[in-house]
Amino acid sequence: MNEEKLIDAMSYISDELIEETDRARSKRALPFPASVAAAFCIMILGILLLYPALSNSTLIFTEMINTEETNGPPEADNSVLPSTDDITVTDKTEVTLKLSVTSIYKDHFTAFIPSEGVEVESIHGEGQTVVYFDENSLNYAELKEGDTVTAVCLVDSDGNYVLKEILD
Amino acid sequence: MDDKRIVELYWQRDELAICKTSEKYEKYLTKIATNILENAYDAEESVNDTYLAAWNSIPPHRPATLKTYLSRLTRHISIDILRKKSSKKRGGEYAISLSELSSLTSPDSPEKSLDAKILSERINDFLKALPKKKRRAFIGRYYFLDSVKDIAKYCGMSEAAVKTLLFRLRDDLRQYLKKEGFDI
Repeated sequence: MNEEKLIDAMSYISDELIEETDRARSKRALPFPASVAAAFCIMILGILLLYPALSNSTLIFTEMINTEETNGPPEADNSVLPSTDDITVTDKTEVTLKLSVTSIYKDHFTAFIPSEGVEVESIHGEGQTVVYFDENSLNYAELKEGDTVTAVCLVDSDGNYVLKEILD
Repeated sequence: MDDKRIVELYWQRDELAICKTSEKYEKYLTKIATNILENAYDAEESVNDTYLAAWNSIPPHRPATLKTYLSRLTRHISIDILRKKSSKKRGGEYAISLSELSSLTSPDSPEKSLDAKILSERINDFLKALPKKKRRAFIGRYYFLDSVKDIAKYCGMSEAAVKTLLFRLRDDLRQYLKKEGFDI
């Protein structure tokens, strides 16, 4: 096969596909750093909106402490996640991440890590944050685009994330 | 002026059609030509030839989308200009994207076995099966010959992610074409 024929063949791709790409080209999505800034602003806005609920949680927590003084320590509830933060370092090599699923494919999926402000794929990529997804630990059929999942990941020696377990 | 009206001017053989085309699409077409030729003078020549080609081909054609029709003309003409010069030297995004696509090919394969239109049908099928973002990146790179930097901007990705994505897509396309019986 001749590569110039491939370039020629690209000339015959359908109008519909060309127009779709052309619309994206003319709209010009936010530049990558701006996308990160936008994601950060959305996070701040989310925290502000959740503030009344968080204050209420503080009251409940205070009540729990008071109860603890009189009734002794409550039993540990392992079903509660350790933090509302997007990223929680539990030890030197393990982190809990919130991932927002953006696309699902046959053998992998892509996800957005709000705390990192980047989209990642279940592949190794040059110079990018990477999440490796082990097919055995995840049923793709249960995932939908837009889902938010919490995952425990190990951090490898290059600073990449390796999926250990999906928590929800 | 809307595209239907401009096409109507071509059909009436009114030279105002070329002025209106130039007013509306010169910048757009120059970008496509410049991506391929990387030379302002050649790009200008390509765009002027595009107007002439449009004048000569409308009628009999009545393009449903004038912008896309013009982009095809500019792409064809620019590639032709570049090929004429290729015996001397190749350059620009065309040369880079060409060298990237060359990883799909085998120099020993007989060219006779290839029909660009049949190949393009398979490529169309391949592209239609892709998620939008990946499709846009691939078409941006190999149809519009956009730079990785530009693609990163309009796809909202980092340049490294775009490079990785394009690498994977070329590999997927190679596998797909092989499965479809193309000798690659």
